[in-house]
Amino acid sequence: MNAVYLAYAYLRYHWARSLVLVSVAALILFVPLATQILLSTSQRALIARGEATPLLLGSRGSQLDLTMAALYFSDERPDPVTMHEVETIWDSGLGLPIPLHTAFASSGFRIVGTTLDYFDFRGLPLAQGRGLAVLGEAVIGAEVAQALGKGVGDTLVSSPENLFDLDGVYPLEMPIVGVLAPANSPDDAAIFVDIKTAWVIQGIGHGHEDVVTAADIASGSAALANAAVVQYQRITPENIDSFHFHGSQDGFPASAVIVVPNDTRAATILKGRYLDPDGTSQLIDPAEVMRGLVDRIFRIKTLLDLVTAIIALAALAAIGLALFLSYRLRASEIATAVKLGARRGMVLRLLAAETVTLLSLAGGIAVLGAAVISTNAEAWVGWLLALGA
Amino acid sequence: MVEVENITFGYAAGGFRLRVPHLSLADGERLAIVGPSGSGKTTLLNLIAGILTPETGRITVAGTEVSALPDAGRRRFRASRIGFVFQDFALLDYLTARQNILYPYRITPALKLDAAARARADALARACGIGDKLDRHPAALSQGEQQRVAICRALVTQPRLVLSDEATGNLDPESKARILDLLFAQAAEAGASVLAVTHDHELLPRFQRVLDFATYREPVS
Repeated sequence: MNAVYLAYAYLRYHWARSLVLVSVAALILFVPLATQILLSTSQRALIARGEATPLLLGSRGSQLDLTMAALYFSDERPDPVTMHEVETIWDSGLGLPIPLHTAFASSGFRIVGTTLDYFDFRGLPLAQGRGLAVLGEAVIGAEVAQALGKGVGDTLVSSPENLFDLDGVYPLEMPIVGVLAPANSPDDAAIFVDIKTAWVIQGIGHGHEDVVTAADIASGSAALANAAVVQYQRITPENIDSFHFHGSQDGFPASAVIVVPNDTRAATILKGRYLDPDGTSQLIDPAEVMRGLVDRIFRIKTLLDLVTAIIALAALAAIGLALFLSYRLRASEIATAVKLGARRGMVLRLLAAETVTLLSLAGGIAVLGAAVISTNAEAWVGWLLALGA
Repeated sequence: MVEVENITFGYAAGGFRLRVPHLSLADGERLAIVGPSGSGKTTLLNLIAGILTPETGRITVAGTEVSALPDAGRRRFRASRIGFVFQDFALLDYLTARQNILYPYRITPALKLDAAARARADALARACGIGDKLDRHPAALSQGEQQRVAICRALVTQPRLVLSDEATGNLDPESKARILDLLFAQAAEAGASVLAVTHDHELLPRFQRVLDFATYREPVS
C-alpha cells in the first residue's frame, strides 16, 4: 500500500515524464489492437457484402472490377452489358435480375441507376421522404445527405463524365424525394435514381420541345429540328410526357446486374449458362471474389504485423531504457531509504509499483481506445470502404 | 547510550582500515567527530547505525548490541532507534515537506503511521519554524528549510540516537549555527543523543565533546 502511495506521488509530481511514458506505452498496446479490430471488421464487412449478393452478371473481364463497381460503386468502369441480358434472366424464370448503371456521378458521389427491387433486396429503409416514383427523381444515401447538406425538396445535378462531354449530354437536375437511413455500407454514399433516369443522363432518353406542332401539320410546313430546339434539363410534370427513348430498350446499357436466383438449383443452372469462355458476359459469385481479395489483403497484414511488432519492440526497449535510467537517477533515494531502515525488497516494490501503475494506466487507455474503435468499427469501416470506392 | 569496543572494519575494495579501540556516548550527550576526509567518520556512523558490520569488536546502542543483530534486526533497530540527518538533506523531490517527514513510516513495517505520528510530525514542523510550509515540495523551500524538514524526519520516529553527517555542510554560515542549535534543542526535547560528523570547527564549542578522528585511522596494510 505504501509502495503504491509513493509510486503515485512520484508519478503525479513527475507528470510530464509519466504522461510521455503512459502515452507511448498506450500507443504500443493500442495500435496493434485497433489494427486488429479494424482489419477483422473490414474482413467481415467485405465478405458480408459479397455474401449478401448471390450472383453478379457483367461483361467478361476483371471479376474484381465488376464486383467493386456493383457492390461498392467504385470508379472502376467495366464494359456494360445490355438490358437484353436482364430480360434473358427474367425470361428464364430462374431468378430476379436487378440492373445497376453506375456510369455517372454528382458532386463526387456515384449515381446508381437501378430498380425498386434494389431497395428491397438490400433492405434499405427511408429516413425521410419517399421512394422513387417518377422519372428524374433521386433518393440519396445518409452520407450524401450529410456531406452535401441536402434533403428532401433539394435538387442534385449530374456531373459531365469528362471535360469534353459537352456535345449533347445535358446535366440533369434531379429533385431529391427521399433520404435513406444510415446502413454503414457503400449505399450511404450513393445517389439512387431509376435506371431510366440514368439513361436520360447518358443521353439515350431525352425530352424537348415538339419539333412538329399541330399547326405545322395543318399548314403543311416541314418539320424543323436543330440546335434551337430546347432540351429539358429537369423532368417536371409539365414536360415528362415529352421524354422518350430512341431505339430498343434491349440494347440499353447496365454496368452490372445483381442476380438473385430462386434457389441453389437455379443458381447452378444460371452459372452453367455463362461458362462459355467465348461469351461476352460472365456470371460470378462476388463472395468468392471478395474472399480472394481479403486473402490477399491479409497476406499483406502479416507483413504489417511484423512491422508493428518491430516498432513495438523498439518502443518497449525505449520505455525500458527510460525506466532503467529513472531508477539509476534514484540511486540516492534508494540509499536513503536503506539507511532509514527500508529493506531492498521494499525499494524494489516501490519501483515495481511505479512500473505496474504506468503500464496499468497505459493498458487502460489502450483498452478504452480499443473499445471506442470496436463500438464504431462498423461505421468507420463502412466509411473507409466507401471512401476507397 | 553508545558503546564501541575494539572494532575494526575494512572495505573489500581496500583503501583503508578503521580501528576504534573505544568510544562511548552518554544519554543526551552531544559529540562531534572531526577529522580529515577519508578518515572513516562516515564509516563509523554507518557501523553504529548497523548499515555496516564490524569485522571484530562490539557496538552497543541503547542497550542493544547492534553488531550482533541479523540484517533484518539491524534494519528494524535502525528504523525505530536511530535518526539520520544528511549533508545533502536527502529529501525526496516528489513528496511534500509533511510527506518527507513521515517518509520513514512509508518504507518500513517496523513503524506504524498513526494519528500520533502525524501529530508529532506537525508539532516538530511547528517547532522548527516550517509549520506553514508542510504542503510544499522541497523545490519550493530554501536550503535551511529543507534541512529543517530533514531534522523533523530524523526525530519523528522518537529515536534514541541522532546521527548527523555534515548536516550543516551545505548551509550558509548564518544558518549553520541556527540549524545545529535547532537539532540540539529538538534532540534534547526527545531525549536523544547526537553524534555529528562536521568540518566546521567554529561549531565545535556547541558540542559537549569533540573527537578528532585522525587518530583512529590505520594505514593500509
